[in-house]
Amino acid sequence: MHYEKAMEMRKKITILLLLSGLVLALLPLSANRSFIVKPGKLLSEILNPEVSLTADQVAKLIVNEDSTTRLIDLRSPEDFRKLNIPGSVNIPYNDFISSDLYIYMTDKNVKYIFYSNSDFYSNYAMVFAKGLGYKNSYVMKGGLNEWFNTVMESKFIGQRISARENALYETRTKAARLFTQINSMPDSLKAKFIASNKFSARKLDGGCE
Amino acid sequence: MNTLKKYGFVSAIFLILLLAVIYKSFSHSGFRYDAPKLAAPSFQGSNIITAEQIPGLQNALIIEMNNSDALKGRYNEITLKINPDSILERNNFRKIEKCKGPVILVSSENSIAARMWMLLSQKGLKNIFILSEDKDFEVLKKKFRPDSLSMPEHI
Repeated sequence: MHYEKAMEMRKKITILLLLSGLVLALLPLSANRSFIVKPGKLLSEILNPEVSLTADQVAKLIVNEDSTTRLIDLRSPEDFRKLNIPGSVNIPYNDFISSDLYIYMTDKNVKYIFYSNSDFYSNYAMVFAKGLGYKNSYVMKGGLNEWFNTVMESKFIGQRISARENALYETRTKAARLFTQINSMPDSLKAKFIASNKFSARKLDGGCE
Repeated sequence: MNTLKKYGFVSAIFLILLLAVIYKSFSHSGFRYDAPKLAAPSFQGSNIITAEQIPGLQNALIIEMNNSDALKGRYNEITLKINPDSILERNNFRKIEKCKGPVILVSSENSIAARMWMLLSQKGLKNIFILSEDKDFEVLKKKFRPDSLSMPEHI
C-alpha cells in the first residue's frame, strides 16, 4: 500500500517535471533583449526635439570637454580610424545592436550621443537604446556630413558680427581645430589615442575566475 | 475523467505555469521579443529604397509623414498621410499592419523615418522600408585633409 502511494507520487512528479521541461523548451530566446518601454511612451520620447543635438551643440561639448556626455561613433572601425570626432568611442552599429547594451552604456548620469555619417544608424541606435530602457540616448543631427557642413566649413561672411555670432564662430573654430589636430596625427599615435578611448568590457561581479 | 481527477494537482500546476509563460512571452510592453533580430534589416541598408523602385512594388502602401514632397504628388492612390505622433493610433496602425505589400515610410527628415522604422519593426511589422532620395547609404560626402586648416573638399 505504502509502495503504491510512493509510486503514484513519483509518477505525478515525473509528469510535472516533463511538462515543465516542455514549457521551458518553448520559452522564447533572447527574451531579455526586448523593448521594455511601452510603445506610446517610447514614441513620445523619440519625437521629443531634445533627443536631437545639432553639430554646434556637440562642438560646444567637445570644446568645453564636457564629462557628462559621451560620443559614440557607430561607423566601421576603418572609418573611425580615418577620422572621428575627438573624444568619441567606436561601436560599429552591427555590434551595438547585437550586444548587451549594459556593456557600453554603464553610466546613467552620462548622455550618450550617437553619430554616424548621416542620420540612419544614429537614429536607429537611439530608438533601440531608449526602447531597452536607456533613457540617456541622443543623436547628433545630420551626422558627420552635417558636422563638416556646419563646423568644418564654418565661415563668417559680413562686416559686423554680433556677440552671439562671435561666440558661435569661435566654438566652431576651436572644434574644427581640435578635429583637425586629432585626425592629423600619425597612424601610430592615433592608434594609441583611440585605444585609450576604447570601451572596456564591463567586468562581471562575482563568479568563478 | 478519472485520469483527470487523478492528475488534477499536476494539471493545475502545469496550467498555472503555462499561463505564466504565455503572459511573460507576449507582454513585452507591446513589442516583440528578440529586438536585435527585428533590427537586422537595418544593418546593410536593405530597408531603404529609392523612388525609382516604387513602381516595381506590388500592393505597396506609402506612409507620408511630415508633409514630405519627396514623391511630388505621385502615388496618391496608395498614400496615407499619417503624422509620426499618431502612427500608433489604432486605426492608423491597423492600416499599416493589414497591408499585404511593402510599407514605405516617407518623411522630409531621414531621422524621423529611421526612428519610425525601428519602432514599427520592433512591433513585429515586417516589410517596412524607408524612402530615401539618396542612394548612398551612410556615406561620408566630404573629404578630410589632414595637416591642413583648409576647407574639406567634396568627394
